Amino acid sequence: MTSVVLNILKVRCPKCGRESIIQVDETIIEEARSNPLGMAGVVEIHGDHALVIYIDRNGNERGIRIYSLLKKDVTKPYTEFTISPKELEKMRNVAGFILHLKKLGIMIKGYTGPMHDSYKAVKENAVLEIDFKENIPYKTIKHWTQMVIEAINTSYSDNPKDYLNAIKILDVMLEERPFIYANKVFWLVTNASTLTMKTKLPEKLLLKNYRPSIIYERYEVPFINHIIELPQEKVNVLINTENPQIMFSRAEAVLSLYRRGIIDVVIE
Amino acid sequence: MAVNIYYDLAFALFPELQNAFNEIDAPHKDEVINRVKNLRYFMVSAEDRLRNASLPSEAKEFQEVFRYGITALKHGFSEDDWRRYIFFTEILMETLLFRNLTTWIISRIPIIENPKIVEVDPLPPIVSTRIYQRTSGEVYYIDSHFISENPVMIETQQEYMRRYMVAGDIVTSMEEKFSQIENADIYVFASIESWKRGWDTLIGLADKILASGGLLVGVLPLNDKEGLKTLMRAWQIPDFPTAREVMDILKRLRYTRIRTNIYGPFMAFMASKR
Repeated sequence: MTSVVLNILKVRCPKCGRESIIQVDETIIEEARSNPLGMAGVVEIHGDHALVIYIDRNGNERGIRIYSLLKKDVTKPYTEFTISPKELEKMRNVAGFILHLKKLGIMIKGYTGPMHDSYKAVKENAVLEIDFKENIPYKTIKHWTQMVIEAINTSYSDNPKDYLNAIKILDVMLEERPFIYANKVFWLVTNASTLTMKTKLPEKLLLKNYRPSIIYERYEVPFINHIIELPQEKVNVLINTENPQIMFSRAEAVLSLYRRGIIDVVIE
Repeated sequence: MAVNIYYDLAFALFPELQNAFNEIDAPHKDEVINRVKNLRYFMVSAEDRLRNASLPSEAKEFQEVFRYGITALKHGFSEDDWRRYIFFTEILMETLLFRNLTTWIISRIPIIENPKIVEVDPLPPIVSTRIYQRTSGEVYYIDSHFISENPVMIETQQEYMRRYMVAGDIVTSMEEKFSQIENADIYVFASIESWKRGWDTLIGLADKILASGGLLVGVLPLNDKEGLKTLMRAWQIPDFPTAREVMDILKRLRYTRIRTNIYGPFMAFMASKR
């Protein structure tokens, strides 16, 4: 069944000058609506680079970004990044993983031993094979891994660390009860290098004055105070830390402030 | 005399209200703008009185937060971005006026074993969360169409449930999930969102949902007087009864152990269903 075209955008690639016509249909609008920032990305491959056009939930263009698709070895379809076994040894549940990102031509892998009995999660442009150290209920693996692969599929970060962070967080979240907006936290983590947080002054002053209970009782207060004193900062710089539980909590805090309009998170 | 200051402050927000509503497309736009225009004389008198008045902290907060609320409404209606609105509802609950009312309520909640707590349109679900922290049990949020159709508002409610480890559920269709919410031990309406339903609907729902002996808890605006009446209209909130009328109605409906507390232009009450 053909989808109704709601808008047509004409975009010129700033790198190669190629003109693209983008047909914005209901699928794209729906993706934008469910995205934490209210945006969907449409990818066009232009040889050695990818052009990503960001579209908001009204079908309007909200920015573009260029990603280099570097291929070190022309015989390989992907640029490979290998995570050291030392990093993986710190994980509680994940023994190894291989992540293919078709749209960006990236493969990220890391394992402490040979992969066997791995769980495979697939979503359009992303394939994640993951091996576990312990017996984890299938339902738990499926729920959390599906969430991660959906976040990864809509990510346009070309920083392997963003995806490794998502796997590190998955590693600890497997022990937690699922909750509905966890997918948005994963999306923030997998896109962290592409996102910039900007504090809004009127909201910052009101926050400091009135101190809403949920923010000041249920999140890391020094972290909240640190964020709101910065006029802007890259999200990956804000949330990166060795401890994946703290990283997840910080990503939740960033999302919490964004949800209240205290900060804006933009793709930059 | 002190409480009149809030009604004058409400009048003093009329210029901002008019400017905001001139720029947006909202179903009640004409009503609000016409009311503001017709009350211009009263607004000028109120501004004169305020010029010589010394504002206590609670009054300054009232003015600041509702001024921000008008901005939040403007962004909501013009850009369909309701994030500031969520923030407004939260900082409203943190003003001295509301904190006093909430503290009064929580300090009087009886210890009931594993109560079923139902809160209407909780944005934010502060009161039911505080009650839950005291009593445990289960909490159900009854959401209006406006909240349930707004993903960021539902996420906010989910955030409270997760962060405060509240057991319960969000009910968007009362017909489908009535068995979950009937025979509630505690029924709460305390948010500015819940006030949109109006007194009759809120009390009618309480009658359907509360178990016999259940506790009715409410916070409401005393908006029988202008300029609060028109200010509340910006939030599509109809007139509520006066404090005296609330007590009379509850007695007529055979509620017992009725207790009330008034702070500024807002009132909290608790009553037990016979």
